[in-house]
Amino acid sequence: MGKNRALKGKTIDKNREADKKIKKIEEEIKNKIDVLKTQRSGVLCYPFFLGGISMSPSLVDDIYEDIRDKCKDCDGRLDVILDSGGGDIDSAYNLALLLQRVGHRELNFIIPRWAKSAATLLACSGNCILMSPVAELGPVDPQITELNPLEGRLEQFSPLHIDSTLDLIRSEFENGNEKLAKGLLERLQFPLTLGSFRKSLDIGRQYLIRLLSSRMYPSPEDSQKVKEIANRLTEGYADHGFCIKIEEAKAIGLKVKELTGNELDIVWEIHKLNKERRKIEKQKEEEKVMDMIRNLPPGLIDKLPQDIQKKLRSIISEE
Amino acid sequence: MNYISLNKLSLELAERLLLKNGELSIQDIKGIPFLHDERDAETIFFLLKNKYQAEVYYRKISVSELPYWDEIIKLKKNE
Repeated sequence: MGKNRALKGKTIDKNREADKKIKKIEEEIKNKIDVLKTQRSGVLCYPFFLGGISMSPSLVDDIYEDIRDKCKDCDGRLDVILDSGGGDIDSAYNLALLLQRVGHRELNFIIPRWAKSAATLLACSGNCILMSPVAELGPVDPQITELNPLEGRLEQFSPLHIDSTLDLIRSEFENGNEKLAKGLLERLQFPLTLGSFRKSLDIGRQYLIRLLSSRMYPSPEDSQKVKEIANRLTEGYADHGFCIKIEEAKAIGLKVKELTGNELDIVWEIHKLNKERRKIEKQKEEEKVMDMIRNLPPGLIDKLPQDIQKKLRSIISEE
Repeated sequence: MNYISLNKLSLELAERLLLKNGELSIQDIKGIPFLHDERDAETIFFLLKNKYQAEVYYRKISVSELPYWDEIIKLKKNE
């Protein structure tokens, strides 16, 4: 009991220290954002830092609250520094329309490193995307996560994989491997919902067409180009993780510019500070979780499998 | 101990922490000492959210006015 109290005191001290460091980093980030604003002719800059947090309907409420507060003095020109791995595509579309409303004169997205999946859709709502030399966009094919009831494991796939699976079965039939093809067909899960999964590609495409034709390519003459970009981003890549760098983004027709000079220096500094902040946050979290583990009632720990009990005890005794 | 079993351990432990505390954040899962890949935290989060039909909410974790968020699953009252 005494040891636990001492450890708790140690954790509180470490947390205070971590909070101080985080505060200092956040102040530095805020200063860099102000410098960027001056550098970019006074355009208001909104930091959209999600890291590993995914966009979802309830996050829309929180971001809306935050934007109402931070962007109330916006003159209709808005830069958004975007760092996100994506999330729910409907929420991304909702946020895209919100940001377009705030940046009604001009909306630009600045990508230091990542704007993947639904975050790419968000970036496509701007007039222009400004990318660092290592910034990545990604395909917008929705990811479907399902629990495979036969094997009790989680499976994540793209609707595009449905086509490749059906192609594989078809080719086995055509090559005379009927038994193998039938076996594969029997293993298909949720056959009735496969069609609706496949159809979900259309949602991303429709959102992309709407967003691209509202800012990047508003002229009706560009409607074919918009469709081509939307098709490419939803169905044109073999894998959801495909790395779309600036050259590829330009090649598919997106309006992108490479960050250079002072702007690149500032944006990259912001990215590095963000990374440092995340590292300290993680260390703080590890302390918190160790505290939570120590406070688990013995009954709950005893119900855990032997190997986890052993592992936990060895971690706690190492402290 | 291989990677897969450590991952299962993380899931087991995350589940116990959720049951004990009534809520668990994605940052908490990332803080589990033997979780090797941060992407696994998202999978564990998804599994627990679905298993317990838990509510999801976000909490601002910034010290300053900058918007940094944490994503949290919360058990419904009858769990």
